[in-house]
Amino acid sequence: MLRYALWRILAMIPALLAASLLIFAVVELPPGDYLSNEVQELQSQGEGAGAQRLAFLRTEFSFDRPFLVRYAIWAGLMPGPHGFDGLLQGNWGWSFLYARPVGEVLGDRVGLTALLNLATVFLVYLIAFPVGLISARRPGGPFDTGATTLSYLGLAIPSFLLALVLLVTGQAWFGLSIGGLMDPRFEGQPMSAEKFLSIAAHLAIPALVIALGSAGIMIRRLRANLLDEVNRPYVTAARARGLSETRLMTRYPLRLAFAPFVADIGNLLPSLVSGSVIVSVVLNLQTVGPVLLSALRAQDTFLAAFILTFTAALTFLGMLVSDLILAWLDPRVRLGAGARR
Amino acid sequence: MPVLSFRDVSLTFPGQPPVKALDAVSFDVGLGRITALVGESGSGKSALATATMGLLPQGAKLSGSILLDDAKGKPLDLATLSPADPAFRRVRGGRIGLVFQEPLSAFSPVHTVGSQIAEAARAHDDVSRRAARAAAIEMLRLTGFPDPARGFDAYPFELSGGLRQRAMIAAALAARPAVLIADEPTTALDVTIQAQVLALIQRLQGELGLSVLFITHDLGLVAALADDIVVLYRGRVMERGPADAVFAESRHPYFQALKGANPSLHRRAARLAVVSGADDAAAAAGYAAQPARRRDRAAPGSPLIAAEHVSRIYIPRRGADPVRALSDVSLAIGHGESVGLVGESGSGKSTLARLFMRAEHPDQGRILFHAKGKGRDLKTLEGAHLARFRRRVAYVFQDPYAALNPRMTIRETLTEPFAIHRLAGRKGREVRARELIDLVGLPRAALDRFPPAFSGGQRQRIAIARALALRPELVILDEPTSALDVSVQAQILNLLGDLKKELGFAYLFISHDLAVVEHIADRVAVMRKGRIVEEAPAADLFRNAAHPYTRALIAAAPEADRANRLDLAAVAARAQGDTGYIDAPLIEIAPGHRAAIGAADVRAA
Repeated sequence: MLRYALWRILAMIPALLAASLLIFAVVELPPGDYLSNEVQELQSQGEGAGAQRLAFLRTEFSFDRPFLVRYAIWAGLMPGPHGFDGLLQGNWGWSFLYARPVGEVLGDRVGLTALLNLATVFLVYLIAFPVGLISARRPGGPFDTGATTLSYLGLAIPSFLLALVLLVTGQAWFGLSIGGLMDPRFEGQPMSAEKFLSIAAHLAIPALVIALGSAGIMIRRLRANLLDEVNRPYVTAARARGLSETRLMTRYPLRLAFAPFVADIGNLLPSLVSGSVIVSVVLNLQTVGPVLLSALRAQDTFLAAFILTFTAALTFLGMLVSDLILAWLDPRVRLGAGARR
Repeated sequence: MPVLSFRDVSLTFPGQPPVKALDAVSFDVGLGRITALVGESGSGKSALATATMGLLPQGAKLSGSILLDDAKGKPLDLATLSPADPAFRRVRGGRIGLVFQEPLSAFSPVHTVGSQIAEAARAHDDVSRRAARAAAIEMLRLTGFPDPARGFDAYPFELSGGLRQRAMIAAALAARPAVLIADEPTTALDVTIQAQVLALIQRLQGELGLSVLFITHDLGLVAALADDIVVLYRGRVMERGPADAVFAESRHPYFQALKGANPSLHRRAARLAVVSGADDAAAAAGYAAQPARRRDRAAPGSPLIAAEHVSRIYIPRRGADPVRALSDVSLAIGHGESVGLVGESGSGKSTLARLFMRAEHPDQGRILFHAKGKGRDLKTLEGAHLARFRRRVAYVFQDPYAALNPRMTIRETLTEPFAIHRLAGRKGREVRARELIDLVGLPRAALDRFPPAFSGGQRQRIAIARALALRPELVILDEPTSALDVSVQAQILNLLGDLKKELGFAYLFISHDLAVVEHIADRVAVMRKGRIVEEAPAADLFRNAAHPYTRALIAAAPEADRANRLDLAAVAARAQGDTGYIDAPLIEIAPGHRAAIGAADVRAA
């Protein structure tokens, strides 16, 4: 098991490298870059002075070097104008759009995004697990029918719409401000107990809004898995050995139905990150989503590439966690039954 | 004194119309006796076991009485007791143990075998985890595990089929029930392993004083094992009594028919008896009587296809040892010849068949296909030559349920080969489809229906019709009857025999069942661990088997004959011994009879 975990973690390194290369390439794919756009604009306004500064920036950020070299310098695999100074060395790059280092632009946002996503994943499972379980106990019963209707509703309603409705009703009926991820007075302040509480209170609504759609899918999936499992011969066999129904359910179908359910963590994360951009804009959440949007529009290469790489890393982490849980749940993964046909 | 007595047990499953699975069934399972419940699929025998264990699905209606009267508790009527009653939970596993047909699916894949055995003990007696573990290991020892402590921690997929079924028996007996119900416990096993598991049940019955209800479709096993017999047909008891009396005196037509449908090594019948449904000698004769359609055939016995020293090696993932599926195998099939290929699962039979049909290529050696007096290596066939090869070799799969596309009508299925090879026009194909459906004895209305409308036996007939569509010269049949009932198997075997006689093509018939192969084949090759260990004309092989493995196979084949019954103890003892000679070269010991035995044994043989 330990060897398997180690192997999986090592396998993440080349995957992350490949992903970052791909992301860098895609971000640079549109013709031109931020600086040449800027030059054109300045020239059309007839200003020559800024052009010199921009020429300096081109060399400073290696825009005159070939693509692979630019990538390697950005990633910190190769020395740039200032020696090794890239992602690997902890330098997240420079944002032209905001004219500040990426680290400063994003600030709290990275942590808050991770927090929001983790909270959402947690919430998805917290809702889907009991609901799916109870639904599967009596398929077609009143609870199952209700849960099915609700999960389809959750799937069908766009999350930003739900966010708007909650925003308006919360404001109008309860005087609650649910925009933002914390009370405005804490923004830019160092972390404190009060700030943390404020974040936790503000986190609940957006997490719920984003989680609802995914929870609908997960409820359907767990229910289907369980219904498959309860009729398996080994469940009947265990019943024939005299196990009580409660022990039977928890020991066999639940454990086996859990595996595909867990395997979805990896898939869940990227869809949450991209799906939450609109919700973040609507609810004015301090996550990386809205920044990514503007960075992509302005061709702010380093900012966009960093955010996307960060998301990829988050996804790989989710997949690692789900793989490890799977290996723990299922000996066939651990002991490699595939080798025996 | 009966331990279990069934009185007027009737069982109806809901449906439109409701299905009557059992109809006033009455019989007893005597104390310390083995009672065999015999019947074909759909006879209600498994439903009876399910009802006894209180495992019936919702909506099933059960009436009559099932009286359980063992020494372990007060007498109970299981037919009136609610399955949800705690008393019934104590019956399951505690007073009656149940062994299932397919041990791999009856064990959870993600729990160790031992934990699933120990849980039975813990469900019934208030014992510690450690005591339950010790009891489970003791049970594994009793069921003949070579290393019980290691077996306890193994996962089901790590065990062989035979060991899995032993573990299943251990799980059923872990809480020391007085009654054991075994539902087709050996159907998924090879004959030699089957004999060992049966011997185990027989031994445990004696050692633990069990009363056994043994459910099977195989009269051979009944003859070998049973003290009493109950014959079930469509939910009704046809016959019941002590085994000797039933085998000796029964005049009941259904029992006689079942006996006749069982192929036997000792009496080679021209045709097997057929229990019910059409027997189609006339249809095959009619088809072949159309002389204009007959293609000019090569002389019978002239070479058609031959494997020459082929080897096939599979490299598994994750650096495990490579598997030699075939090593240095040579086998020739002549025009119009039927060759049987026998061996247990994993012996390489299907791999060889796949090489013959060019589904894969040998790693060493070659397969020669003879056409127009010229032999060609299958690997190098291309274009028109390959298309011609495909027309001349056809394949029938083991599982008729998976082999037909459920979304194509039977007409589409039967005319597809013509479409692929661009043969016959639209009208011509319709004519051929009708001929083919007549040939395998199905009504023409079947052409417009879809596969789910047919039973397993009917589907296998359709699969055979499809294989014969292009008038192939060689038909490869991979275990074509092992998914079917004996009586249906008899129909298919008769059909194949008739077709061969009339149409004169060659067969490669693969089976793990010696009696079936003996019935159909002119020449038989026995495979073990990727090698052919013996090859001889059918009659010669069964009379003068030279290789110890062939002898073991013959000895382990059950006979539906009380006088000639399988000696389980002897077979199990033999199986413990070495059957060796795997690597010895094939030596010709009689004309056409080759065996992989040492020179010393040639003189002895």
